[in-house]
Amino acid sequence: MTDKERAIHREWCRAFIEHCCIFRSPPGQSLLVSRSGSLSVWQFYLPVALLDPQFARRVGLLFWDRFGTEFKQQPFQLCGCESGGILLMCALQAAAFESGVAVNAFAVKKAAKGYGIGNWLEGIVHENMSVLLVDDVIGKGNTITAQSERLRSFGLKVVGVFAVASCKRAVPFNFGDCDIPATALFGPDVFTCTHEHYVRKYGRQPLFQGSQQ
Amino acid sequence: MILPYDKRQALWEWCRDFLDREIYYRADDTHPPIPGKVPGSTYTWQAYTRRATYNPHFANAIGLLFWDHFLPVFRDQLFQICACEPSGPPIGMTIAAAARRLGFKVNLFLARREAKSFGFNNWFDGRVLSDMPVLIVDDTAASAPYMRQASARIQHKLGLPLHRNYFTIINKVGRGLDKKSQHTENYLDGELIAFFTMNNVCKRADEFAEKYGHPPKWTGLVK
Repeated sequence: MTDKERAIHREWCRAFIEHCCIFRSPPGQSLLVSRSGSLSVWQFYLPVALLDPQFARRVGLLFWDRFGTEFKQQPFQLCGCESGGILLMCALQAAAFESGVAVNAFAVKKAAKGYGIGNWLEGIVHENMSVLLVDDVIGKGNTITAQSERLRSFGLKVVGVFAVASCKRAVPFNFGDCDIPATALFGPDVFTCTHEHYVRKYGRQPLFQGSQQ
Repeated sequence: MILPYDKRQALWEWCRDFLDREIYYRADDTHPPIPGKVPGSTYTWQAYTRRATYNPHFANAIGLLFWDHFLPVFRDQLFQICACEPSGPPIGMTIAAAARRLGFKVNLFLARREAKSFGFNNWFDGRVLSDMPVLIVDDTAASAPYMRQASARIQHKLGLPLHRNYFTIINKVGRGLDKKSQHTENYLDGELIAFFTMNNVCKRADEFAEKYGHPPKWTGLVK
């Protein structure tokens, strides 16, 4: 991919997230409850993007532009963190397949299945192949840390982490004790997160496109 | 139909063989019956469909077979797709990716099994198009009425019409299976299109061994 093509895909994806995938509470209106239970004035809803075929395709192209050479040198399999990482994993796998490369993928669950074989992993896992862990958003990194440690406890080698957005830390960075290199397409500073800032920047109200039902 | 007959049959048989070899846990002398959903119950076999749907070749084949069936229907009346979590998303994604490669776009959103516990407490993820019929997809139509629940929420919460069809890869019906608790018998209010039934695969390990000449054995790490 040329620098120009890369820049076009990246900007298209950034703009899609900026305009369609961030809910910003208008001033004076109720705030959203975040995963941790605190109140927030904005929230990412990246499934809106990853379910869009154009976005999925472009993210796939950008990912393989970044990781294609590494994959050729040392093939890896993708592991999606349930549930946000599954869509990204499927998008990356489909993009590779379209360019003639079959990449194995599996998912790691939030909790072991409560019946049947009680599995943590869904999919066929190649035990001697490195793993690249993917999730839609990296926040404080708790999910990634817990799941990478889980995969390592199963004897798997995690060689990297990839996300669409990192909303707390500048990318790339290494995960503390794991020392796993992590990267994301976008760091925390590229989106206009609050309603006020959006209106000031674009001169119009933000239009969140995801389902609120 | 977009595939020539030979190609369609070859893809279907490849998928059937993959499902039979790779997704079914079957109890035998070395594999005990496993705990069922109901406490105290056990299963002698169970499907792990994501062992197939996360495989790139299988996913690609399902995308092609889906549009081979549904493209004439889609051309006649546009629809959007709702994939039921947690097993439907890879199927929805491969259908949408196949559509893009074939030169058209289909909208895809997800129905959650439970409402999200934060944010909007939403039941659906993604962008929903107004006034467009919804085709619900999942991996298996079985005894749990998840597709039926999704269809009720789509109609009541989103106010959208349903497509006349539902789609799954497998319909859990066939010889030796109790019909009374199956989707197609009791739950669904539309026609289910499924590529496979349990008549296409082996439920028992001895049946598998007789057919393939060796006991069933999953590839890869199982954790």
